[in-house]
Amino acid sequence: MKKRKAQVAIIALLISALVMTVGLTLSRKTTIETRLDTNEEALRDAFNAAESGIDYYLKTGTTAYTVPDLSAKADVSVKNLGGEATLNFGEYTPEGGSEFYWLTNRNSDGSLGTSYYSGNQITVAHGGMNGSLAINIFYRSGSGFGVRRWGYNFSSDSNRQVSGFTAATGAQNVTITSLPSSPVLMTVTPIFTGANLSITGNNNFPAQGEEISSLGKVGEVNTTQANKKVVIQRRYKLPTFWLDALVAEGNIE
Amino acid sequence: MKRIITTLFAFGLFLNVNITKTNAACTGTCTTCDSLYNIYRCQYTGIPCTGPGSYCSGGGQCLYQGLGCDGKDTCSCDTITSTCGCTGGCKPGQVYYSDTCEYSCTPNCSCANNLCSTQTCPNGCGGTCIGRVTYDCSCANNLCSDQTCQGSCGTCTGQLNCPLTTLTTFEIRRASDWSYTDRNDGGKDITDDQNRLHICDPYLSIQASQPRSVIYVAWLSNTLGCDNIDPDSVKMRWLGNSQEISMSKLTDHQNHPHCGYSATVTYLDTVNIPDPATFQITMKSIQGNKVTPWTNVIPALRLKVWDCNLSVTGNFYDSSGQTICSSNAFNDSLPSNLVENLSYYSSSGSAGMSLGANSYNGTIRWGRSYNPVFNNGLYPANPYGSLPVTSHWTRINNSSSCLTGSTITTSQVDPYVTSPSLDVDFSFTRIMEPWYQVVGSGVKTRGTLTSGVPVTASFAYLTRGTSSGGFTEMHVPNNGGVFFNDSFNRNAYYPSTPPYGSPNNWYKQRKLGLASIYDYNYFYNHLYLKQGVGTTGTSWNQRPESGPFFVNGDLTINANNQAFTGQPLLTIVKGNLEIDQNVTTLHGLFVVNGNIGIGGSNTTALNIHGSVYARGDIRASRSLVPKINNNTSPSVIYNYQPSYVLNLPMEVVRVLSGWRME
Repeated sequence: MKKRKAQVAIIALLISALVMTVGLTLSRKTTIETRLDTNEEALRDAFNAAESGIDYYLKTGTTAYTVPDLSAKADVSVKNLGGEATLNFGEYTPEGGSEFYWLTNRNSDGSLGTSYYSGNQITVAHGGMNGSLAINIFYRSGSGFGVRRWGYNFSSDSNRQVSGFTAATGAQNVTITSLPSSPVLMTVTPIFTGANLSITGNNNFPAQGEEISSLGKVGEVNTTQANKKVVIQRRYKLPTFWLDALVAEGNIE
Repeated sequence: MKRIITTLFAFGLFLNVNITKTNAACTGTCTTCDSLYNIYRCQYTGIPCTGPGSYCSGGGQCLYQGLGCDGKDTCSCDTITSTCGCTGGCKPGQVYYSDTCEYSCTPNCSCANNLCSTQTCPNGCGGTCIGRVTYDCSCANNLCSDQTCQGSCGTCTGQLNCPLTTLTTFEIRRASDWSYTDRNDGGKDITDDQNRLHICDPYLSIQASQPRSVIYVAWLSNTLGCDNIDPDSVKMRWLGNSQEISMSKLTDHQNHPHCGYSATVTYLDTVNIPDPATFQITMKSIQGNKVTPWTNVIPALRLKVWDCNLSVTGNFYDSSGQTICSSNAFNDSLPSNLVENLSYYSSSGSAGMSLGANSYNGTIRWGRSYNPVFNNGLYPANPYGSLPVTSHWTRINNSSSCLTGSTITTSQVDPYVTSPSLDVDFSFTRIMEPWYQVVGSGVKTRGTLTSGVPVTASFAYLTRGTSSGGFTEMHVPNNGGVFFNDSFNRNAYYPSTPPYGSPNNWYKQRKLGLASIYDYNYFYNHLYLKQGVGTTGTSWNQRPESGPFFVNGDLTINANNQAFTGQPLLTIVKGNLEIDQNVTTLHGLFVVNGNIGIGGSNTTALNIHGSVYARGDIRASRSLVPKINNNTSPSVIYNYQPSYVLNLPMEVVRVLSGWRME
């Protein structure tokens, strides 16, 4: 009889151990998940704060931003784009799109300034495209503006050449030397294919806009703080169709 | 003696005796002999000998015969009673007797022009026949009207000299007017220098109108008179068809050697003998029934009888803006099917032509003058009908010169060639369809680019820079590129190298990437909603002074606006944009979600200074008034204004890009 009671006790002990093991396992998993959810929420709040910081800056020009419930904040920093002898925005410009390089400064209100690019040449690199480039340089002329245009064919394929463009077969770049005085804007439009465009001058180019960085923060420093940084460029661009007087997605007649 | 002579005559008559002695029956004394001499003959042979005692080969003595003439002068008798034909007494060599003469007589009465083959000399031989034989030659079939027969000469065989009827001259006359003939004398020479004539000649058949009748006149001759011509025997034939034609006697024109006969012949226009052919004539004399066989007429006229149809072909050219009759005037074809119909008009009837795309062919009549009438026009009031041209030049047979008038004279075509034809080209100065031009920039469309730049334009390019055009206020020296999916020129200006732009003729059939992301909603959300920039409205008069103007629907621009020195007007339309025909000047930038329409007409072109972008179609159909001004000037001009683009509101051009997260 005693032997039978001992067996029951052992079985009960094993079952209890098993139940305890399962229970502890489930409890650990829930704790981890709760901790992960808390981090993601913090990051999301940091990201939102960063974006709101940029919006706040764009609207107010203020670089410090705190969310209304004080749960997060963002520090905004701004630096000029360009200002160097090479401009490379790191963007891929699709066929028919245009990249805009300003050759004059902007006043504080964003209007066109009068400090013009002082170099006497600009080299346009296309990053190895197999097509053509249409290049415009707008310039100030008296009280108005003018525009000069260039066209280059880099491809040896006649189907990838624009009639009348200057042949630059195989070249990786072209250099414009006959710059108009008081240049304002250079636009480069790839044809037949997109291109990774950049320009290099023999002097520094004016600022092309701003790079706005916003660091969103949630929590206390050195404890559970979550950060998220958002960077965006604020540049001056035009719809490509305004480079011509007559453009239609449909027919023209 | 007489009996002997008679016997000898009879013998000679039937036996052709050679020697006859007859009594000359002279009376009186022959006194005109120069001298007489003694005649001696051998006794037996009668052979003349020299005198008494001379030798005679047949023996016998040489006996004195009497006196003889010396042989040079005749010895005339006072009268001659014999009919032997002697006109004097003795003939040289004849024996002279005091009242007789001895002579030789032959039976051949060789009277000139009066031989009958069996003719015999009556009354014995004697003397020489003089004049016509006046014997009765009443042989059947041998009567000639001036022959008189006396006495009898037996039977005549063969024809006497009955005259043939001959052709004096042959004429062709206009059926209705005898004043026209092929002779220079007494009429008008209607043959050419090769003596040719054809049925369509206006002098002959009056512009070949039906019936095409001509009169042939034959002037005949017969030495016995016009009455000796058998009037039923005169026939002619034209060797073009060799059909025999009887000629009728012209009773009022019967004067030898102009015995007139004529025939009127009508030729149907189904007769078409390509080459000129000569004539022949035949006739018969009554006396002797002498037939003049088919004989070529004199002069050797050649007549062409044809249907008078000229094959005419030609092409239509566009000479708009070309120097008169220059070689370039006939280089460029007129747009296909612009000529919908063509007829050659003449007062005698019009001829319709069969048309190709820009060519034609048909049939006209030689000798007529024609004026072309196009597209259901009326001559002379409106010869061009609905054809949009102002004038035309005419080129005949690819000549280096051309006609500035419109009348085409078909008589200039050589009618004697096998297949007369005429090549008549027309080159028109067109009234152009209205067209547009872009100044200072390019044109881009993802669809079809229909332009209308005419060759007549003073600066015939779709896009043009300003340095050559005098638009100095724009400060734009260059034009831009032209990009399209398909292209078409509705004024059919298709030189080998498309004249899209000057000074930069940049063009490519290429859509240039994806459609733009910019539209009404983008600008409205980005500018108006987010930044509160811009003005909304529904009509043109609600537009702001400058800056964005949002129209949430269609918009009709019905008034001009002024130029902008700073920020321009940016009109953004969600629907379609129509520009009224009264508007001539617009400034600003236009973005339209739908289509842009520019219709109507105006004496002044519409100048849009700025830039136009449509997500749909842009259709400029506005015409200048008068329409002919479309030949030289565009009716809509898109003037690119870089100052408008560079002076856009900051909110428009300052964009965010390059977003990244770190």
